Amino acid sequence: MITLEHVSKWYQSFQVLKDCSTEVAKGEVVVVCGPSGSGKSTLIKCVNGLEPFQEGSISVADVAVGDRKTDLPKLRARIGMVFQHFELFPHLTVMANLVLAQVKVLGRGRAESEQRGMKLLERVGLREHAAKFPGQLSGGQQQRVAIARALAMDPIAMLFDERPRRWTPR
Amino acid sequence: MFSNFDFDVIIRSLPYLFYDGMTFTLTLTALATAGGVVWGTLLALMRLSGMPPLSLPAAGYVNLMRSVPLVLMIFWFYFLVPFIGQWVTGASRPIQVGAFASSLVTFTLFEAAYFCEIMRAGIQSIPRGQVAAAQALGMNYVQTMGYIVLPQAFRNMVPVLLTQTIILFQDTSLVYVLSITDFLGAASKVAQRDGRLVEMYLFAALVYFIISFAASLLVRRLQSRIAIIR
Repeated sequence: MITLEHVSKWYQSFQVLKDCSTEVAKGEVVVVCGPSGSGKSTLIKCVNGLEPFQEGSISVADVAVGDRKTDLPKLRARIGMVFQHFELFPHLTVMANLVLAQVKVLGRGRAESEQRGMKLLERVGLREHAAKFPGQLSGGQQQRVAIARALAMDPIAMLFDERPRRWTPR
Repeated sequence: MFSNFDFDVIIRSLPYLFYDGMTFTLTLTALATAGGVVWGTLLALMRLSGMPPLSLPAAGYVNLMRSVPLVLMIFWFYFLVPFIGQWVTGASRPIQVGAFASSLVTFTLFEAAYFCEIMRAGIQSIPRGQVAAAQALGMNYVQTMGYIVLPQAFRNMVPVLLTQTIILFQDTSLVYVLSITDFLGAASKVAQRDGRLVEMYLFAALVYFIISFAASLLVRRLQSRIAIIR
């Protein structure tokens, strides 16, 4: 599903990624470990094209990420991502965070999107917080909203960019 | 001290001052703000685009507008726009646009430079991660800007934008150079006609002060109400 072949990336003269290769099959869970600053976030951001890389190739579901002709927004819509700092949209309610991209990117109806959103909020145990703003939630709750937001797009793969100590298992 | 002053002249000219004068001043302020914010936001996006063909002209425009006195711009446009109109339409005479249209265009273009810098600061205040999050959800540039970045930038910048509007409200009095009857123009005309300069100009200053001061108090109250919960 996700294939990385000899990926290298430089920030000016500093090399962050050195010849990274791996393969992730459908349904497989892969954890990338390493000390801070070792390029875990950079690697994960290369996978959905948020960061450019100079050498090698990455493909997701047989779509080449580094290819100039690739419709990156279309590809990213199919890959769920949870950021280190969650990056919920602070000016939108929790529900609006979940609904926005479903409506504007996937072209789903509003009612259907809200239904999907509610279902996911229920799954992460935040149903009663739908009308709140992200700033009114705790860190752990925000993370669950971020996961729900990514899942709402029915992604083919999920990327998590975070330190594991924030996990509140559910 | 005020014994030989005639404050009755103010009462007599109130309808003229407010119905003719203030209406014009407020209309010009509102329209120029609306136009200036839209054009200013576009300029800000151009400046931040990272593409020299867009960012350099925008930067040049803003710097030019900010380094020329407003009165000069008002004059320039009033005399120049008819000729541009003639050149564009190919007419045989300069196109008369009228003092109102001319001053509206001037203020919109002039204020856009200031609104641009405000919006630029507002856009830059939005964390990079917000853009990344929007992109990760599959949003394109227009969607990212329209739904995520600009709404937050506007919310953060509303106090500054409104403060700039208050400055614009005061600046509109400069249209007197085109002998337009804005609020100050109306006061000035009555003052000259009745020979009551001190009374009229005192009153005009008082009205500008009250409106501007009340507006800035309002901005301060609004500031806390619209702030994004973090």
